[in-house]
Amino acid sequence: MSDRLHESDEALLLGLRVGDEAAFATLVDSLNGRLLALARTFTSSPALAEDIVQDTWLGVIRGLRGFEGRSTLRTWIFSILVRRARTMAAREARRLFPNSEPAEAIDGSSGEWVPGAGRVGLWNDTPVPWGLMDPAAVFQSKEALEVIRNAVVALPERQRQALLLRDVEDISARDVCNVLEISETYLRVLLHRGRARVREALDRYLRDGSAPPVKSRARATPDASRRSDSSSSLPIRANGDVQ
Amino acid sequence: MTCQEAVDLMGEALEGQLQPALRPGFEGHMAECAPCATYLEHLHVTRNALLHLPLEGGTSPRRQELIEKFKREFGRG
Repeated sequence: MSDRLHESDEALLLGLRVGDEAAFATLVDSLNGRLLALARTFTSSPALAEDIVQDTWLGVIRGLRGFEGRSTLRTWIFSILVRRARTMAAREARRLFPNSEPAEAIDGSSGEWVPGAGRVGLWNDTPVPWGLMDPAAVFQSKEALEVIRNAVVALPERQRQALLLRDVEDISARDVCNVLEISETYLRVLLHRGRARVREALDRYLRDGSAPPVKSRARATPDASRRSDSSSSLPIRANGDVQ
Repeated sequence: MTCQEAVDLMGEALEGQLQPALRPGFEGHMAECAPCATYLEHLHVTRNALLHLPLEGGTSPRRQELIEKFKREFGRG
């Protein structure tokens, strides 16, 4: 996805290194919400997620002079966040549950129907075409995007991390592996499962208009109120076509 | 190629990273298996929508504090 930060990485970095505070403010304004979204995948505590992001920014300020540009500025900042988040979330877990073993990440199965093994066309439950006249209508619909956003939020943490970085932020697969410190094979598994679950939510919405239950959030996001516009719903014909 | 094998390759296909040696088998399967072709189309739409998901907005509630630290670090504070 193209964005101001992405396109002007080099100019921004130049400004940051000479102490241009407007450049730094631009960086904070562009990335803070996205860093918070990723931080929330490491902890259920909104306050701790905010602290992780704040600590990440302090790490960015301290590390800028040493940043060598071997990755993009954005990827470097996400890497700092992941390292901070792991440390701080583990510390918090030890404080709250001093005698428990560290929890293993549970990714779960895709929750999807599985195609029949070994034979062509043998699906347990055949996927039904959505019959979209214009596939772009999906991402032009605020309501459909909200269904997708809720499905992403409901993913197990590792799948959510992989999808946020690879599909939402559009960071290269190699860089995502470096940021999350996982193998390309594991990233493929996480993306496969995560995309399957989001597809499933979209399928329910497009075929019968039902949205998955919204995972409650401790705090409303600043733009949440704007998403209640009823005119944003995706018009679907009885046969599934978008009008 | 079985449906399971085809589904396993869909992630690479979505990202245009399918190995050339696997492409004929994959494309052949898609041509003859309507459920897999539908599933792949669903995944295309899903991924495209994810790429267009509005990024979360909102700046840091401690923005000014960060800017002051930045100014001190770079000698303008």
